[in-house]
Amino acid sequence: MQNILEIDSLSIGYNGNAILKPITWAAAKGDMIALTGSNGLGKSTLLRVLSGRTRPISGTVRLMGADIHTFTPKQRAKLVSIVLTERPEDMFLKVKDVVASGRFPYSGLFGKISENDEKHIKASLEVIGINHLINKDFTSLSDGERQKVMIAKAIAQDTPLILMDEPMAFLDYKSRIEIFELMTKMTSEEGKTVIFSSHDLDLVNRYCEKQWNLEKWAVS
Amino acid sequence: MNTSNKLTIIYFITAFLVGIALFALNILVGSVHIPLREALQVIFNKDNSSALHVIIFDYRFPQAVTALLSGAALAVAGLMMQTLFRNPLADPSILGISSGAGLGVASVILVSGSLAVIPHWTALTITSSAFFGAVVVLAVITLLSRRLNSMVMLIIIGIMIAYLTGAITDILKYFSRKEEIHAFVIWGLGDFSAVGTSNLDFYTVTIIAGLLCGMLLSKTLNMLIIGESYAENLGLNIRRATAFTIAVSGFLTAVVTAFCGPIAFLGLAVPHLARFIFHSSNHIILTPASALIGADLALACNLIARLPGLEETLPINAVTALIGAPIVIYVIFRYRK
Repeated sequence: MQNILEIDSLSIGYNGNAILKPITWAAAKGDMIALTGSNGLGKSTLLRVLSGRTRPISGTVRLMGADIHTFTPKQRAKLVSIVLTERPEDMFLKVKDVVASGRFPYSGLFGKISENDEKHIKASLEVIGINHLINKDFTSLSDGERQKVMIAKAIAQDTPLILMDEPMAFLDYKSRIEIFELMTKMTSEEGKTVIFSSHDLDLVNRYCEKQWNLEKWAVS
Repeated sequence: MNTSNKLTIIYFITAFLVGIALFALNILVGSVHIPLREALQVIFNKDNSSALHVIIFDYRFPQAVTALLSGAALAVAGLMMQTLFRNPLADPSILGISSGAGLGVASVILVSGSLAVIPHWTALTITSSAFFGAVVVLAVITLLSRRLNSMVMLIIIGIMIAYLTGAITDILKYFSRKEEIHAFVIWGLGDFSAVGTSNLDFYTVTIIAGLLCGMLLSKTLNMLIIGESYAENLGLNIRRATAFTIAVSGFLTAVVTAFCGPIAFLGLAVPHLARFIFHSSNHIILTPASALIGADLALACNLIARLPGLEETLPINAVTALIGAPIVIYVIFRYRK
């Protein structure tokens, strides 16, 4: 089976200084991979490099067989989606608006939502189990609900690879379990490849077969 | 059609009808009251020598059109700045564009003489210098926006440019005569009558072009409102989008400020009115909604500024805040969640 993501001798860091040992890993369709390692090691930086937003110092990231930087931003938007710890803050944003934003890479000049987009939006809300929130104001939701909406956005974006930075941050234990269950559903039933960073080692060990543990380049 | 869509259409129609009524009042009401029937006769009669014809076509019509376009332009420019910087206090002047226009005008009025009597060429010089000052600042900011990664840094640089241009203007004022300073203060109070018939076509075309560009940026702004990182992941080139947004917003501000002076408040307040009334963050709705409400509010302010019984026309800048602030407070309480 073709790998969705191939990381080859990847070195990441700032201003030419590597922060991690060079990485060579691969992720296949349906993989759910936890990115572990202590705080400040570079998990978020690695996720940014894997999403194509930041360039590595050296090495390559191949997405569906091609170097990630050979894609245009719009092409890349159809291959990899992200869920971050930052959240939209506009008080008039509806849940539907946030999920619908996942369809922007597919829409025209004015971002008009087509019937096909509507189907994707409804299906994403259904997979996550938050259909009842569709007309709610995003800022009125709990942290757990907001996280689910952001995941629904990523599903609506319809990409083979979904990257999540600390998806369990700020969530209580029950919500964390729900997010793990959702990620399992997305990988096993929807065939998505999910790579996420987490400090929740108990739950990671329970739910994930694959773990990528980051190691510092040099101990100072 | 769901209830929310129906309400949006009703609000649009209401704002449009209010605009028509206010436009008509702007034509009819003033130091000389013109009854509706007489106004219609003058408008549809070919006789263009009567005094009423002169009042309507040479003064009130251009002034009402200027108010309408300026209100719409500043509101849309303000909306774009607030979304781009995700800052509810951002307005069209935040990047120093109005201050640049101010410096341009100060250079002309304070350096080259008094504005006490304005021959046509002098008014044109003032407009050109204001436009030149605004465009120089706009160009600097747009270029910087392509090199900077952070919106916070950009906004700080904009504010610094505003301080710089303001400081130079203050130095010019310090060395100027009383009459020249007075003329500069008058320009700073804002005036919708400054466009006049001779420049109305140019003003209309440039503002409408700017508003259409603003409408074309709706999707970009809808992406930015989700967050910069998300917008980038959704395929948006952030630096290009920032530069375009600043260029369009700055262009609208530059044109309005060059002709009418630095009109405050509308650009800050109207986008909030639009959000609260239309209860939306979708720029496909917010951009035309802001334009309509901005036009309505500017027409209302222009009407109040020259109500019958007043010897002089009140400064627009004072009226916009005087009328607008209570409306914003009312709307926030009326539509709060």
